[in-house]
Amino acid sequence: MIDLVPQIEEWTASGETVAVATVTRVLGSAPRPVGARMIVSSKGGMAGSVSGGCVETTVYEEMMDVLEGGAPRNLHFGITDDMIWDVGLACGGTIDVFVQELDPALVTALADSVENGRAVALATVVAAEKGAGNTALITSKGVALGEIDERVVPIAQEMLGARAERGAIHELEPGTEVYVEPFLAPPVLIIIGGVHVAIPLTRFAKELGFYVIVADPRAKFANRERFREADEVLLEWPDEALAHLEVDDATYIVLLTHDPKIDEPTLAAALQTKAAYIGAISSRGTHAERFERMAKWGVTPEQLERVYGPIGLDLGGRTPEETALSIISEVVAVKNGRTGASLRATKSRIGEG
Amino acid sequence: MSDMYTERLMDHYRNPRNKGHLESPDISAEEYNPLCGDRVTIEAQVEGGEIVKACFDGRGCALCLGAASILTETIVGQSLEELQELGQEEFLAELQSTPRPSRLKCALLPWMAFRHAAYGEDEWPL
Repeated sequence: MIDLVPQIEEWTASGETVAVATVTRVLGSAPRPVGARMIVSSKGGMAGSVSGGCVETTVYEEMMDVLEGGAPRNLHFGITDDMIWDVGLACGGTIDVFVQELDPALVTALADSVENGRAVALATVVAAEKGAGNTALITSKGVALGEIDERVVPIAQEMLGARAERGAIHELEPGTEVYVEPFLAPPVLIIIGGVHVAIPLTRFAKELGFYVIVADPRAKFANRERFREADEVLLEWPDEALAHLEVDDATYIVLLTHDPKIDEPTLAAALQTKAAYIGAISSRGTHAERFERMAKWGVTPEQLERVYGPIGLDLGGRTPEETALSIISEVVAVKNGRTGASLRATKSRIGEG
Repeated sequence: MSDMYTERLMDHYRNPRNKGHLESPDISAEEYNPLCGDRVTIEAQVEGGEIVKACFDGRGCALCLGAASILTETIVGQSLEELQELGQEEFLAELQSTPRPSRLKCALLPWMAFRHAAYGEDEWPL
């Protein structure tokens, strides 16, 4: 959705109305996940997608109908659909797509929340005798904008609290369904040490949607020339930085300096936080020694069990880019509750989330 | 014990003398090493041309902070004129340490801060 905001704003600025189609339910294999969106303007512009091209033509027509005054509607596509010879999904799955006219004010507020790192949920009634299409933005404090059945608020808040990454349909009562999609503040990657590996690591992490902070007391390492893409470059002792940064369970900390005078106090400080991941670059020998050295910081071996060290997945890389890939792969695996093993050794599927 | 991390130096690192700030220093300067992050401030109170009190503060490695502590003890009781003679070789002798070339700047950072504070020197002689 967020990637479509510039296009939505361009269309609404030129006086056009905009319809949105959202994939709200997927059963089986489907080309686009829940939350995928397509937008259409009253002049016929189109962006985004809800499938691999299988159903877009039909969805487009339905969207134009909505823009001409038609009611919001739920569309169902699948192999068992009556329209099998007309439109359907070649991959055998089924999808529900909800079509409605967009409220530009909601889009602006949503984009503002995301840009400022405030978690918010977008909730839409997708099936009801009355009120289908009602949409609201919900924060941890309640409805921020729009109208919605009050029973939706605790559902949305629970999803935000659990950092649910995908939207989902919730049945309020038989025949009344609401689609709730959280837009979370981005996960934060704090890189301790502006060393050479940190440069591609920053680039990869930005591409993957992380908010990236580089902290290092050494001006030769922590500077904007080296880290143009980082969201923040902090020229300070990282343990002091951790004291004023908000480190929560969506924060991932990577220690890369190799310098005990920086790493040790930082690791001690990081272990006091709720960070989801603490990884430290080192050889196996150095990691073993770390247990001894950290005792003087009051850190117990049990606390150190939290630390991913040596850092990274076993990709066998040597270049800074390959090392960075190994590190960010481990971070992503931890974020998604996976091990990083090859899919052929697991029962998971690619793109499954 | 290595030639760099001598007993004297490590004692000053572990038990720093004169760490903190003076209420109203007559001279003070901060030096920073952008390559290693070490940062140290030297402050001194001067009466009749003689240093009567000295303090240091900062963050850095054992070499830098140990050297800063030693410096504050070295300069007290000497006149600014006499301390003109405290060159880098003389200061290294005070430290009783032989830093590796790559760590020389760490050891000399407090000395440089003092030269800066006392004589306005801000060019590294290295």
